[in-house]
Amino acid sequence: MDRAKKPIEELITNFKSTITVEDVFDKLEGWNRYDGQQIQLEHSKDHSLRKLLLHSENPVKLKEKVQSFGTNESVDKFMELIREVSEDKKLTSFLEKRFKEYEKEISCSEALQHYKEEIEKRNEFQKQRQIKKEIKEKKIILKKSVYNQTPLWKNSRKYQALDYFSMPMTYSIITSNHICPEEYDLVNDILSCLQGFHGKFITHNKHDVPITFNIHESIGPQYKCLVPKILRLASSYTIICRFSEENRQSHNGYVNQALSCYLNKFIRDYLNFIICLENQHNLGELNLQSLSFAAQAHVYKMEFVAHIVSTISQDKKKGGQTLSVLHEEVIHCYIDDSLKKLLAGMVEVSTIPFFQSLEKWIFKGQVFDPYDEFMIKCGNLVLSDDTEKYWNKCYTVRNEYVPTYLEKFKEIILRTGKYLNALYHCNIQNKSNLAYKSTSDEKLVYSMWCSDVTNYLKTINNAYMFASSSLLSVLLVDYDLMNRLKSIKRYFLLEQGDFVVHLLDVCDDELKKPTDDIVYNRLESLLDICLRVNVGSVDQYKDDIKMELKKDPLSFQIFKILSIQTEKEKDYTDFQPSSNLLGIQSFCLGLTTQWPVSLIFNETVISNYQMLFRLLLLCKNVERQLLKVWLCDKQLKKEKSSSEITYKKAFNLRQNMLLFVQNLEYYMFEEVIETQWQTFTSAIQFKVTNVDELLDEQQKFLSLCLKNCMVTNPDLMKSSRYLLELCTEFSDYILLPTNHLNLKMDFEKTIQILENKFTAAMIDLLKCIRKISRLDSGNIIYNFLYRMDFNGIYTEQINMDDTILYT
Amino acid sequence: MPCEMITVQLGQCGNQIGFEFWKKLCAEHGINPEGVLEPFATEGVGDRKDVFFYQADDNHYVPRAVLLDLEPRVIHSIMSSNYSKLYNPENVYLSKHGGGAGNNWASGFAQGERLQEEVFDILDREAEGGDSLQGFVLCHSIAGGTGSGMGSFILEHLTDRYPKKIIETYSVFPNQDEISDVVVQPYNSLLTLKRLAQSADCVVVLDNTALNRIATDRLHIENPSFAQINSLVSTIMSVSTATLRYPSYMNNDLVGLIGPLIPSPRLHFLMTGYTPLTTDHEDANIRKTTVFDVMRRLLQPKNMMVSTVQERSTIPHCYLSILNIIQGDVDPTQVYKSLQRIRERKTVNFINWGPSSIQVALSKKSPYVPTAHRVSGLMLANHTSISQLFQRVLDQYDKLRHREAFLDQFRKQKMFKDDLCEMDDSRAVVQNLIDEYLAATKDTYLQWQPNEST
Repeated sequence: MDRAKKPIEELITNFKSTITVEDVFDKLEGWNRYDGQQIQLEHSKDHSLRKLLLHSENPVKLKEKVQSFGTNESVDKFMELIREVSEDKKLTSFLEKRFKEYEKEISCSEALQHYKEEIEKRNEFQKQRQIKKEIKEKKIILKKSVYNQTPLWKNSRKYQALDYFSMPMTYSIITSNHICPEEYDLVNDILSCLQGFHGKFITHNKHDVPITFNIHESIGPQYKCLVPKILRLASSYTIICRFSEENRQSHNGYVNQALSCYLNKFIRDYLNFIICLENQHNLGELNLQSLSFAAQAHVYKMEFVAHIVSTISQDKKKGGQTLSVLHEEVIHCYIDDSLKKLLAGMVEVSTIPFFQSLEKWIFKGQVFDPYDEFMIKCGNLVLSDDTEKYWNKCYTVRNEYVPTYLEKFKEIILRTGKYLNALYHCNIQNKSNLAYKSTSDEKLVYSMWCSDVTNYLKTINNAYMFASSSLLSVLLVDYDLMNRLKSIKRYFLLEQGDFVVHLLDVCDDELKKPTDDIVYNRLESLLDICLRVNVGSVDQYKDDIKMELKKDPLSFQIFKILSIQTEKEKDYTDFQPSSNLLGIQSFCLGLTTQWPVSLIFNETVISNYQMLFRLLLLCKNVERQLLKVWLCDKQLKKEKSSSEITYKKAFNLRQNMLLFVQNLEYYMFEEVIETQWQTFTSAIQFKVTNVDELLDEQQKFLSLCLKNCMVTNPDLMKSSRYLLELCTEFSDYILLPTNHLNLKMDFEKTIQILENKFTAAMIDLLKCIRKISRLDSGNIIYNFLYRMDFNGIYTEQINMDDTILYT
Repeated sequence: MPCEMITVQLGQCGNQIGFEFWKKLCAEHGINPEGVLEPFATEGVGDRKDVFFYQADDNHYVPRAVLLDLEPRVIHSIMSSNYSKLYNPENVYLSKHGGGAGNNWASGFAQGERLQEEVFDILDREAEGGDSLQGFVLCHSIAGGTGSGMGSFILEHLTDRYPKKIIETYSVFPNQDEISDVVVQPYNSLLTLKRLAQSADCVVVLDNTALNRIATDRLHIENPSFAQINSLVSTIMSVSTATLRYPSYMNNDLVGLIGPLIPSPRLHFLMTGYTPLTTDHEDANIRKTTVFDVMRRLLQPKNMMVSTVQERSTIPHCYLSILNIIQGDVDPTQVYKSLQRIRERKTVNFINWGPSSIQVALSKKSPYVPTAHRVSGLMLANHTSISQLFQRVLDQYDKLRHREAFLDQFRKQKMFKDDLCEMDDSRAVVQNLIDEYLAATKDTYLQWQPNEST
């Protein structure tokens, strides 16, 4: 019983069953009992037959068959088993499922066969294109079976490389023959093994990787110690051979294919060497000792290659990865010259297909990568609205496929092709100029050490210079980028001041309305008029300017886009969308752009410009309202009442507000935007060498503008916005059509309240600015405080509260 | 188009400075004396010619200028100059009577009244011609007859007709250093001052005393001619409108420009200063100018176009507001540094009842008028010491009035036939103005009340 336990346990674990050993014993015991009761079994035999007939598709035939067997114990048992199987629903369904899969596999392999034949008909290049095309068409199951598994011929002709193809049948003979074999036979055996045949005394363990050998015990100890040393050659040989076979076709990538091709030659040399030995042996001149000696010269080389090859195949490396492995070996291994030469040959040969793809990429901007092994991946995006996504995502570096010797240059390589690609999409007359014309000495050739003089680096650099300067000059010259930027500055950053004045004048009535009530077309045509009549009408890019009405308030847009990761983030959420925005709050400019200009003015960039625009427009509008109040006030000067304290206070409050808004505007326009603009444009002229740098510079410009215009600091943003709101409240109150002069008390009170609020908010803002400039002394924001408090009117108040705070 | 302005030139002085002003504008915009754009200016440099000009059917530029005078001399000389074709002849109005106002305010005022229909026909037509008129610019002197008298009449009525428009005047104040041949000058000045105080929205004071002093002291001209003085004036006029004509980020309309300069509606008299000053014969003597140099010099009284005594005064006169229009090659950081240095020196006094600072407007410059200096600047300032000028007018008036001198000419006119209460009233208005300016020097200004008895 205990003896039986162990194999049963093994069975259970192998089948991954949940039943326990005890269950099995119970069952077995049950069966034993049936054995003891023959009559019951007879009965059960009829019973099971009946039951089987019930389930069978063809009961008559089955009955005949059973009867023809007669009473045979094994038949009875078999029937018993079938009955149990047919009654066990779970098992039946499993078997059915298995059967279907089996059928599918057969049909699949038929399709494969057909497919393979088709492929082979075509020549090399056409084949690649066809493969690429068909990849998309075929179902995943087919695709996988074709490209990721070993080719079919490998299955049908398993032993092309004589991979020890059959079980040694001589085994039994040898076991009975106790005579110590001659040395001659042993050498013969070894030579067979070295070529992939089995031997008489030496058997292999096929499932070991690398392959190992058993030496028959009858071999005398004087040989036994020599044989394994020689057989190391055989182990390595099989590894190399397998690799070479597995990669003979391109399904593992061209790099591996090239390597395999190179190794074929290597194997041929090896076999030549064996044949030489065989000749010697046939002449009877080879004893075990000299064989061992001869093998020793090769074993090192073979094992070295086998080691590399197995690293590659174990981790399923391909393409750039394979190249990395080889290159690392070249760099890091201390090996003799002949090995070095061999290894160099391996790298050089396998680099060729990779460099061919690379040439296509850096010279033409095309990704040629039918087997998914190249360092650049094409995301297959379409150049549509979201150019930013296209630019960043369409072509990416696959880090795992970058050969280590190109690691440092992957960014340059990516950009080179990307720029060429971008150029290709531009509307340029002569597209043939867009490819880099390499000279004959600029072919990419692998060399071991990376230095500036290395051929491929020079070429890559040349191609990069060509691509980046071409795209940049196309943008700057053909697409007149500087003037486009100026146009953006003119309209989005309000440099064309009279345009804004005119716009606000003309659209006054529309912009006062809630956004939903605005007649979109009317406002749009008004904007169009403004664009056309002002000085800016000489601007050739004014037609790109369009109108947008934003749904979210400015603060929300800022929050959404900058998504500042600070503890104060919630401060932004406080400015929640008060869904009913007025026209002036939702009005915004937009820009229509086309490739490649849309690359520079992508969505993020435009929304940054828009935020600045909305902020600046807001200030301009507040200023305009306050100036309206001024025009109102000037009519009072003949009135005696204008000398009254209340009026003077109102005048003074207006003046304070006006100074605040104008100072804010001056600060934002001249000290922030204009200053940063100078830096930005001079960077474009003198510093920028490629499009990515240009994009970076623009982003830097925008971020600095936003930061210094108090947008990105929640505290500053909040107080400055509040001050502007107070200004609006004040001017709205004064400009109210009802004659508030009659409600003198109310007027006095309202002005006083507004004044208190304004002064308090101003002190808040100035304090906040001072705190910031204390922490960050270079911050330009201090200029605003300086200007606001030029005659020291606020100094005392700012300091007063500070002392309370610090004592 | 926003911010259109109509220029009204009155009397001998007004027409002279107006003439110089238009000459300057034409040069800056590249318009030739016939109103046609010069070939080199057809590209356009982002300047706005439409602020002061409009285009005729044949696209030549016509100034929005109205030329008025009661005597033909100056207007004739303009119309016989090579700029004669520039102006719209319908806008040139000469009194048929042609005898002038005899340097008498009352006569000018009365003639203004009599001719008002014809004059306002011109003004109204011109005002309706524009798309969006922002205001009127009046050029005149306060001492003579036509500019002061007729000017006063037109001022009063323009304000009534166009209450929402801004009325800015460039008013020339008489030279105090020389004895005037116009004996009734104090009366004229006082009566005009009342209108300037009550009807104008912004008065740019051009003090002949200071202009002459600058011409002799700074420009080293021994006997400055009218033309030389007027060229100074035209510079001030053109630069003070530069931000309107060459739009940039800010100060692109008149109200935005002068609004913040005038915190309280009655305190609307502005002084000007300009640097660096050069004349044609002095080009050799050019110093290096930086933004700081310009801003520092602008604060020096000797560069001011108004002669007031700030140092010796017992009253702590101060600035209500300052706007520096800086032209040329300017880096905003230099402006900030200059402001810092000026503040550190503590030489500039500001009001202490409200915030005030040196506002700066960076303006483009005409590319057609070459200048030797990298940076130049104009200061527009609202300073309480301007009241000294009014006080001087008042003192001279009191002297004459005390003697009852030269009143006969006035009594001949309807306004003064019965009594001289118009003069007394004017005196009270000017006195109030002086009082308010003086009150503004103290921190109690907001509580200040005008003296009811006067």
